[in-house]
Amino acid sequence: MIGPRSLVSVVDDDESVRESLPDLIRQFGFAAQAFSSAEAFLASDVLNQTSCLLLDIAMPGMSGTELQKELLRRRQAIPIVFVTATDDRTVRPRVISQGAVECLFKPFSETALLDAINAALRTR
Amino acid sequence: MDAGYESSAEEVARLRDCLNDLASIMALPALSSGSEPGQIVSTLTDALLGMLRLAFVCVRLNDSAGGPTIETMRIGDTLGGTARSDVSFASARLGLGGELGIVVAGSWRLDFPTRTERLLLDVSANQAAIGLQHARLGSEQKRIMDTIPGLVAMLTPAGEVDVVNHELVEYCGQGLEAMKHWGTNGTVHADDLPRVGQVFTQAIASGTPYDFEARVRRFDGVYRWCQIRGLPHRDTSEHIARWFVLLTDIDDRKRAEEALSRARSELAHVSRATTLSALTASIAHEVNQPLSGIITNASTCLRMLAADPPDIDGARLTAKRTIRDGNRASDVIARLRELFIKKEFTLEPLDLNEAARDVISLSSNDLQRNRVILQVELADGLPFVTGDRVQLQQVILNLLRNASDAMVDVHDRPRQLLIKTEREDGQRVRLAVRDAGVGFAPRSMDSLFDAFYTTKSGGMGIGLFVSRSIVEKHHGRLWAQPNDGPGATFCLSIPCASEIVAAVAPAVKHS
Repeated sequence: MIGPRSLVSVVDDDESVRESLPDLIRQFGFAAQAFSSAEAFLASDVLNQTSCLLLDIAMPGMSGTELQKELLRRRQAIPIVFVTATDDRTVRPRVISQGAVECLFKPFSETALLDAINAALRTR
Repeated sequence: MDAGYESSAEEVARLRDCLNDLASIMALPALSSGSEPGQIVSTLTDALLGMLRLAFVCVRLNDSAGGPTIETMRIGDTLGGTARSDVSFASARLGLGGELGIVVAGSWRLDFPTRTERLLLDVSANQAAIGLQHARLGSEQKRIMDTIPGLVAMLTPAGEVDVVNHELVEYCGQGLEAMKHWGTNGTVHADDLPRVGQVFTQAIASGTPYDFEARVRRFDGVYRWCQIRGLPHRDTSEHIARWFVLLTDIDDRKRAEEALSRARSELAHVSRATTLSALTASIAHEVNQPLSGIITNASTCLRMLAADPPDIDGARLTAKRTIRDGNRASDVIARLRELFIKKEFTLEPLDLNEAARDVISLSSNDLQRNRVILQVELADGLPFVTGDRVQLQQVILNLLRNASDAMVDVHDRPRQLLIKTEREDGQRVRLAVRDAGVGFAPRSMDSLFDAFYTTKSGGMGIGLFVSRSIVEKHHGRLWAQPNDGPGATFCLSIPCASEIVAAVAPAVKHS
């Protein structure tokens, strides 16, 4: 492996997602770190090391889309893959038009997840 | 003695004539109430000229409203044209203080007026004054009614139209005589007439105020919704002297109400749909969350097992998480089920008549608004049933609403609704709700009770479905049958208290 493994950060208020998703991401061969809120992620020291952000949309406090805007404002160009439990399909074109790489609807397959992460990493 | 006898005989004859004259004055119908002033005056002058053989009679009437006075003069007996210069006068005031006018009578006879003639003149004037007083009161009343900025009528105690004010005449485009036949001449809309007739007749018979809504034909032939209120006016001895009736055109308000109610039901439909879609979304969210966990954990688990060497501890951990997420999904489903199913079911002995009466009083406003004529036939001495009062009342309410809704578009016949209870053979009690509505096609009979089957735009189609399941929980039956005439009858039949206990008891023993 050349250099350090890419870091995928997961921001989701659902604890079971924070438990399960990083494990699978590590199985893919990436490094993973989970945060329970947008605020916690912004306050962390991994902002600059994160190669891909797996971001929940609906969260208490700052929402996923608000975090997306905040990162734009800070000129932090982290590729974002949104992850949502809603079945409202109109969300996808909306967030992609605002710069997201992909939007995954729960439940999603591991292939879909891996494809989305790879797509995000390619934009770097 | 002869002379004495003679004069006494004359006296008697004079007295007899005088009494006859008095009797005829009293009997003059035109001098009693209900006549026009002009008619009263002419009757008075005719009577005086005839009785007293006057040369002339003059009547001056003061106008009550301060208008021009009316003067009438009649020339009577001219004594065959003999020129006479001496005329005797007598006068009588009309009204106690002469406020109504004066009568002046002239005779060629010098002894005019004799005491008898004076008496006859005074009595006649007095009778005429009473008649004039009545006429004046009547016209005063009419004038007051005409000044009321509203549609007002006065009825006799028997309910006949007696006086209508100017505004009502203008509004209906018909006069008093035509208005007397409002029950037959299309003044009230034919669809409303049976109900109006029922309410009106009952109110007049019982002497209680009435208040109903009906469509009344305006001068231009358009039927408009009016509120019609009647109030009995009682005299000092508590007898009804007349009815005062006030009509209020509420058509615009009614239309606004209907539009509002339509909007409200549309809104209810939309909000139900919205609720449903919001509900679906939240179900999706709740279920997708653990499903996602299951898939992610299972994927991780497989990868850990496929690794070389396999990560058995990691696989075990993720497999456990998969089970946990599976349980979480099934919890969500269980919670949803609880939301839709009401568990409490309180059994108590209850009188189906009483339950029905509660529902009837609860829905009487709705029924009246839909112009439904409700007929209630509750059997006496109905045995008790055992059941959940609230749930059974929901069923009855649902049947009444359906019946009423089924008649909304009925305009060519009365919207008759019959609710009836009776004892059936075999210890059962039956409640039937019969409408004169649109009915249903025989082939749709089976689907009537299916969930989400509805013929109503605003309905969810769960009323009859839920109703039947409630009735079945009471070991009863709920069914529908088309009427011979228009409409349908829905019946529910449930066992009486003793039998349901017998039916439930063995089941309890077995379990």
